[in-house]
Amino acid sequence: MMNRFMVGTATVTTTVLIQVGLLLLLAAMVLFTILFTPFPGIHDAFHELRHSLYIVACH
Amino acid sequence: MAAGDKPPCYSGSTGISHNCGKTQTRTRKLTMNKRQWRHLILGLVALMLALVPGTAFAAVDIEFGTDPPAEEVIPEHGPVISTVRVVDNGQPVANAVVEVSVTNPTVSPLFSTDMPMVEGKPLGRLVLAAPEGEATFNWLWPIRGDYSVVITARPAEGSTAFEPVTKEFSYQVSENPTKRNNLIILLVILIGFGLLSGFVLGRSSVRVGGQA
Repeated sequence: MMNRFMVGTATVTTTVLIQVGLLLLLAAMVLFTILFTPFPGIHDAFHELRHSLYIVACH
Repeated sequence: MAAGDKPPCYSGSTGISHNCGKTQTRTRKLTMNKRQWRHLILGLVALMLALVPGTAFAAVDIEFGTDPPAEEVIPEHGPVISTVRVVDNGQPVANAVVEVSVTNPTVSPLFSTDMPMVEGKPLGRLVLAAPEGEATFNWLWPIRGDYSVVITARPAEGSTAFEPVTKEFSYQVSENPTKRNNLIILLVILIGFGLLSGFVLGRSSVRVGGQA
């Protein structure tokens, strides 16, 4: 007996405005996660980076 | 008054008569009783004591400095050798005690330091003996900004060589230049990423529109 897999491709078209918005959101999330999140695992990993960036608060 | 007329003869309040053909002077005999003499002498003695230096408490001054100087101090790099001198006309005052209180600077929340929880709070307090008029201690300045250093100098126990004096110093520490450079690098990376993203998105948008 053969298994059948169905593979489909969906094409989504977005406007430039949405693309830019998604990109800004992604960049903001990455920056916040690296520089400002209090979650200990991430916070400790980027401790030295925060202390070396002049205006980023750590303690 | 017509020319040639004589001015009127009158007698002034000073007791000197004018224009009366002759001048009369009245004299008043100066008499002081014992009480007045005593007050006069006491007043003169007080005036002399006030004018002659050295008879009252010595007017001491406080000098504060660090090695390296404040312009070369980098936050969290140290320790910095700090020196307090108690002087009277440039000469060290012996048997002094100095009390040093340091308050951290307050920085704008928009451009926070890396340790905002200590901003504006007392950093420390030291009481040091200065038998030769000089006290030295090591200090670590944790963040950039304008520190308030309040120093009180007082004579050692049992001494009344001078009156306690308090002086406030402003100690300006600049940020580590490496941190400033790192921030500039981060901003350049972010701006570069933004420009690249804009270029890619803009180009793909033009292609989808069929105008490329």
